[in-house]
Amino acid sequence: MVDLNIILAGFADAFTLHNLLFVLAGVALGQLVGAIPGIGPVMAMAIAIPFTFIIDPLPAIAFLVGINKGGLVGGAIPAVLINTPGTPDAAATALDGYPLAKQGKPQKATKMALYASVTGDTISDIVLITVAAPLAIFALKMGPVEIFALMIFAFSVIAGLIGKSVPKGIIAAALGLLCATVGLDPEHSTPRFYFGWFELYDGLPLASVAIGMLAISEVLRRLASNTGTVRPAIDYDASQSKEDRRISWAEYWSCRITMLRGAAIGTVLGALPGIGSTAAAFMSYAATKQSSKDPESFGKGNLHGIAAAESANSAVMGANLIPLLTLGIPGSVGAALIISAFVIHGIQPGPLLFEQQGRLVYGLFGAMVMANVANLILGQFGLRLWSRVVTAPESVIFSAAILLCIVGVSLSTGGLFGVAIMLIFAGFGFLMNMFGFSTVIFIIAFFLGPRFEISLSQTLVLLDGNLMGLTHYPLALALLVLSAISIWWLGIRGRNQSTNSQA
Amino acid sequence: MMSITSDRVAGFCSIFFGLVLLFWLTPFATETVDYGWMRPKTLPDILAWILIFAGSALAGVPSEPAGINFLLFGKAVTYFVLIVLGLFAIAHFGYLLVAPLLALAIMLLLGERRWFWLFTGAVLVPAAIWLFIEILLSRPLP
Amino acid sequence: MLRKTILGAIAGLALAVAPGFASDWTPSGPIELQIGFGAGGETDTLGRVVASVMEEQTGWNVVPQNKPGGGGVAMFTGLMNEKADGTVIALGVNMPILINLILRGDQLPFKLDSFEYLGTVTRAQLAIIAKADAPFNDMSSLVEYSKANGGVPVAFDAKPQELILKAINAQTGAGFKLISTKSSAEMVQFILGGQVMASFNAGTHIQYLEKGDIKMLASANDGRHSYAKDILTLREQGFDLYVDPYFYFAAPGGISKEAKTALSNAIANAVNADKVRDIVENAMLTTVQNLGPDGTTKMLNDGLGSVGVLFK
Repeated sequence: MVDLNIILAGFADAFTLHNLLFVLAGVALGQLVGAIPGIGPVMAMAIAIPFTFIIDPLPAIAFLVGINKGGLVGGAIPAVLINTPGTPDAAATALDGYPLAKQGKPQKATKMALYASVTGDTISDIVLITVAAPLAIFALKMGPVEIFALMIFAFSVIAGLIGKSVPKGIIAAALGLLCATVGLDPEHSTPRFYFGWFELYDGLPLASVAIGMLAISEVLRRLASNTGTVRPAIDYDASQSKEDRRISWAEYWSCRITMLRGAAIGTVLGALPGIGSTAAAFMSYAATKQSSKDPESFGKGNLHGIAAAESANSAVMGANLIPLLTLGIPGSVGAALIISAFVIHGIQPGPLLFEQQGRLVYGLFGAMVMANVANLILGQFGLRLWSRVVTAPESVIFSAAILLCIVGVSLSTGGLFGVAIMLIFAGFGFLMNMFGFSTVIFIIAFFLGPRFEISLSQTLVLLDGNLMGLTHYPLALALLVLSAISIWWLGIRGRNQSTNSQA
Repeated sequence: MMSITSDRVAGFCSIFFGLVLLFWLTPFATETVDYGWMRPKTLPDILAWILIFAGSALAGVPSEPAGINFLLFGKAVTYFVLIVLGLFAIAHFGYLLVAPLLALAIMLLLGERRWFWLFTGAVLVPAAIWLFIEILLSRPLP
Repeated sequence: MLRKTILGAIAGLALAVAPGFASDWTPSGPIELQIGFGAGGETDTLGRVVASVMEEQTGWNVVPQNKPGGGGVAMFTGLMNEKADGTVIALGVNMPILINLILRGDQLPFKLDSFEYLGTVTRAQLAIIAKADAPFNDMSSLVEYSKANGGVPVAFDAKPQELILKAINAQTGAGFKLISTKSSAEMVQFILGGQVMASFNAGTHIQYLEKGDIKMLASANDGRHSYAKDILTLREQGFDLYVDPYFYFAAPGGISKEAKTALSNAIANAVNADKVRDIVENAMLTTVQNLGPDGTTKMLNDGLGSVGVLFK
């Protein structure tokens, strides 16, 4: 095992002014691009990688980690302030963040997002630094059958967000899954639903669908509901009391259970490759809503809703590095980009990384700690700035948002084809909203769809098509039982609520 | 009593789309494979049935008699068409030429008349985006 | 900026001397280097490094641009409509292109001769692996083990690998259960977790070989691997099956001779640079291999035949 000297040397390597500057630059850039719809931290990292050739491995990787972490905070800002998530994983943050901002408390809402994000991130980093190896071994036990059961469980928890009408929720989910089937099918690699567009071979571009459905459709709705008067995007009362502008310690502390649960969900899902932060954020949000004494207050500006979503999506980031550093397996595109940065500097992540490059790994951990602190400090300034920016008239904010989405999506999907897809889904998202269908349910199903189909296919091959074979997989069985309990619990809650409201 | 509500419309749309998917779209747009448990069409077929059943439930028992706000819808279509036209224009004439005009059109349509804000939205913002992407990140704009 | 110009001038000089004859072709603007895969993969890393080295050596502005979709099919479809003036070049992998040309060539708007080929960077080394303590050491004992146990699960992550497994099933009655996965990393995970008994792999496994957690059963290329010279190929083990995935550069058809020569020389110089060699050796654990413009064209045309065999 790695000895203490290497750990200390690694941390000492990290805490230099030189590295601190790179971390600060990365976090600042990440917060900026995360806040711009359509570009996002992954795009920023891909662009930054060539610049990291010329610098040493540690500052290079610290810079990228800074961008990734900064992006998590940045993504929440437009979600909260104008209800247009800059990154899909911030969509859950918008559910309660935007209502709170609309009540004239944009700073309170964004600060809760910032604190919860840094808290979740820090918790998952601590897990990464201390128990990465055992967690990675646990992750190896999660084969296709277990992952399939986990997906079912995730769906059952997220079903709590389905809203008033069950058929509508099911239709939204089915449409999301259907859109996820576009492209090569997972078992035989034959193209489906591509209608001669080879750009669709790998499926509908995630950025186009997410930004179109969540951001542009919301901008359309806001544009359409404008009555000709010129308003600021957010009503912001500069004379409001201090309590409405900040998060008190008591408010933060009251969310501790919520954030711990969010961090736990984010860490577990992050340690398993391929599920992602969007699902983690929604799972945490749904679980918090289910366990709350007052589930009706969610979606109306509840601080717990913001805390649940942000703590979970940020925790995924640290946990994504668990399979990456211990096994060399990237858990997300962001993690895959960090691998390329390692590789470009001649370091191959994998089982030998801790032995061969222990000092560098602990240096990276040091940089992550610095990035969390930098996020907190820079975030304070950034939030104030952005809250000011959105007091500009709606006309400027929304036309700028449209231009940014067009530019960002065309950059991240490699051309205007992706922008066209974005507009199609913007129109579709608008119609769904108008008819009372949840775009959020659609997006979650769309994001989980590919992994769901391939793990179902792998499971069926492994079990020879016989689902009774599940009895040989105790972990999967346990997850399926939990899913059933979760659905049953939802049913009970639903019935109690309807009787209460009738009384 | 069968009244036309938005839920009923949505339910029938769902049934119709499910049927189209099942009998026409999936057979047309997937390849036939003769081995394996999950065929390319397995999941789409299951989803088509779900759409048909859930659509029937929605059309049969509408949960609330909500109507459709046609004014809102019409305005949204206007903005949508404007953005689509903007995209075509960008594809033909490039970002630099079209972006300021698109921003200006959206702002005017929204009722913005103040010179300062029009200038900000139609000149400063597109220029800032151009500066950030082309110069700072050295990526080509569309 | 000045530094770049000077570097460019020096590189230009070197270029003029090295390949034998001078070429004064320069691109009319920035060169877009299209990469047929999304950000964050092997091809992406490779493309970005080559772009930055080319920029350094030639002084041209080389901008990498991801064009994902169908393993390069979308990129090549788009390349048909790009200007053939040397300002757009593409980096792809031969296997998905060849397979799509064979399986659904009538639906593709391009043929192999729709493009000019500029060179290759490297050939990926594809291995068949198993856990170190598995009760078999080569393909025939894997087949025997599978038969004795009613068919064992074996993982793949691309069509040609699936076809190889199906061919072995047909040839020997091994009864492998074919588990489709998304990446080499996922396959290593399933091997280590014991969910599959064997799998293909293109590099993630090498550290595990070193560490002793994983062993290699065969090379799936038409040649043994540089890091495991004693492991026999599938062909040497009696299965006449192989895949040779090459990373290659192409330009739109109709590009001028001068531009093609200048670009292929620039690529050749970049591929020979230490930085590119390092990446190929560190990341893909193989060696750089540039077949040159004619060699690349021949490799692709031959590939149409050798890959076609897998589908029979």
